[in-house]
Amino acid sequence: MPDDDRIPRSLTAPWKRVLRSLKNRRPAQETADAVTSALAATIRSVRGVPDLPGIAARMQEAAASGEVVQSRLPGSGGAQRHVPTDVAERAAAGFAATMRYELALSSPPQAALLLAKKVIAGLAYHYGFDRIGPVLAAEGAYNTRELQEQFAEILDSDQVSKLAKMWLAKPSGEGLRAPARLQRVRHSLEDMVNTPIADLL
Amino acid sequence: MTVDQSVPRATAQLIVPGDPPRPVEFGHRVVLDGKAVTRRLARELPPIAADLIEIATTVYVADQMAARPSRRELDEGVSWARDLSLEIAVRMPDVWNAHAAGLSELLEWLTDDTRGLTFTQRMGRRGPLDVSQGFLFDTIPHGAAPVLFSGGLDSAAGLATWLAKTEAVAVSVDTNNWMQHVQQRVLSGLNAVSAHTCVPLRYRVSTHGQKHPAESTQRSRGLLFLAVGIATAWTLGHDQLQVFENGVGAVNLPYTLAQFRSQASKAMHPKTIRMAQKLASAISGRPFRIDAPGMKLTKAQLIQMAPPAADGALASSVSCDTGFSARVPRHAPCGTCTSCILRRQSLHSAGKAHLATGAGYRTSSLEGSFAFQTMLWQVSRLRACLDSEDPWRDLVLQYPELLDTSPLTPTEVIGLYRSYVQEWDDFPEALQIGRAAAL
Repeated sequence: MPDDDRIPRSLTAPWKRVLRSLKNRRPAQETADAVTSALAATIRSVRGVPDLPGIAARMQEAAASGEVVQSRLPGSGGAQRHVPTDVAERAAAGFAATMRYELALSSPPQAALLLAKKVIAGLAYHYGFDRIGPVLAAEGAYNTRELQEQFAEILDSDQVSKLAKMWLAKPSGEGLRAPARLQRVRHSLEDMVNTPIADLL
Repeated sequence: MTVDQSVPRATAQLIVPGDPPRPVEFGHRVVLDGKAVTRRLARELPPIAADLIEIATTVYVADQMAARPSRRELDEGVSWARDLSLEIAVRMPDVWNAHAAGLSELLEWLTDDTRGLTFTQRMGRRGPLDVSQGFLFDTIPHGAAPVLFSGGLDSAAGLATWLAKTEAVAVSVDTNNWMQHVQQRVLSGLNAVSAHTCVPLRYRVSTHGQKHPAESTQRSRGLLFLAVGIATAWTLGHDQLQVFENGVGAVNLPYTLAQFRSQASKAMHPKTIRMAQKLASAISGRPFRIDAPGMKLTKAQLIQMAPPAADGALASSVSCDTGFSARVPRHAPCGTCTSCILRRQSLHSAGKAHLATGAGYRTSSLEGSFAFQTMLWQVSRLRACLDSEDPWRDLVLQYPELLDTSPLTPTEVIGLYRSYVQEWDDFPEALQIGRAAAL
């Protein structure tokens, strides 16, 4: 029964920037960048999920065993104390229960990346989106569906995908930064006219 | 666990790492009063039953004595879980030490805390549930089934439906006079209109000197309710207990993914019931069953099953998170907590919105309500999952906690949430909040 349910709504500074960006209806790209930065900062401050590769391995084992999976995989004791580990354990359990076939066909690095992306999304919702969304909807600035779609779009972006790969290389999150966006270099018309075609190939 | 011998051996000791042990004494910090029950039953509770209630009460009080981690710690990735150890003096320590792991596991599920439990022999002291008086005769109708009764809308609706068929013994716990009054008011209302009667069996648990407890979340309250139900059933010679809770409320999926585990309370979750059933069976050495007939229904569907004659009693029930608080002026329900909103939504969907009109909410408008938006947030998310090609897969990927809802099958879970989401379709309009703005 919902009985004195606690619904966290406080935001850290990087997520407050995301909130401001959405409130001010800044360009989508700018909001997406703020989200990627907030995610990198969150992963650093929560010290990542050091056992992420281990959880991914247990996810594949659980999927292969064909046994009934509960919301946490066997051996998930650390999840109780550390929210990001809990997010990872729950995501792994969800995959193990519903995507047995796909996981059987995945290599361990592929499975780990699949999980890393899902955990990044989980952290985005836990520390940011699901605290921001209802606030913005309550203010009437956005409707719920519009926000949920926008959040899903941001999490599907290349930037977030790159962040997941970078994180996987160092699951403790130490030193993790948002990936640099490729800047479009503006060439002058003269440069473009005078550049030999062979140089462009 | 190290116990400081200089602390008087009270009823129990709470040990939090880094702090000196603190006593938890009946009659000092906590009052547990079961006289109304023993008088009515005209018998003492069996030692194992009295132990169970006293243990659950001790845990409930200790739960409020240690603060959960601060917001700063939470921002650094720490969860809200605590490390608590309790040494509790009981009548049958061997039995309880043999089942300490099962009890700790149930408490961990309900509260997220790691709880070391050790039981010692109670020496030369009577417990709060030991009775010295003689008894005359009991007034319980033969065969009346024990049901758990909170005074909330689900338990009122479920009991109304039950009393149309047979007798019941309503087991309740109250923590203040107002809660007791509400429970009595609802039961009197039901008894006045039902074909069968219900006998109330009421326990009082109240805490002293804790106007501002260190921790207010009280997630172990679920154990206290179940414990009094199970212990009273044992005392009545039953190995079965009825609980009336709707499926959506019992599963209580997080409204937002910012919630960690039992921040969405799990007092009547299917897994809680499974674990409590297993524990009760192991302790008593006989199979014990907890039936939750409303588990496949939404709150609105549970209300619809109640006979119309019970409408008055249903209207007098209380759902608000702060509705039983003795400190709220005139005890008016807030109207805006998730429990109040769910009550309003379900009464509307059950075609009984008129039962909410006299509620006297402190705030009736939901414009700008964060709690209301979190509920719409969840409904929108559920709808997206249910509309997908593989609803079960999408539901589980979104809410892995659905993997813990056995004995509900995936088909039953999908059906439950389809009904729930449908019920929300016209609720925002009913509150005169535009659907476009709401969803």
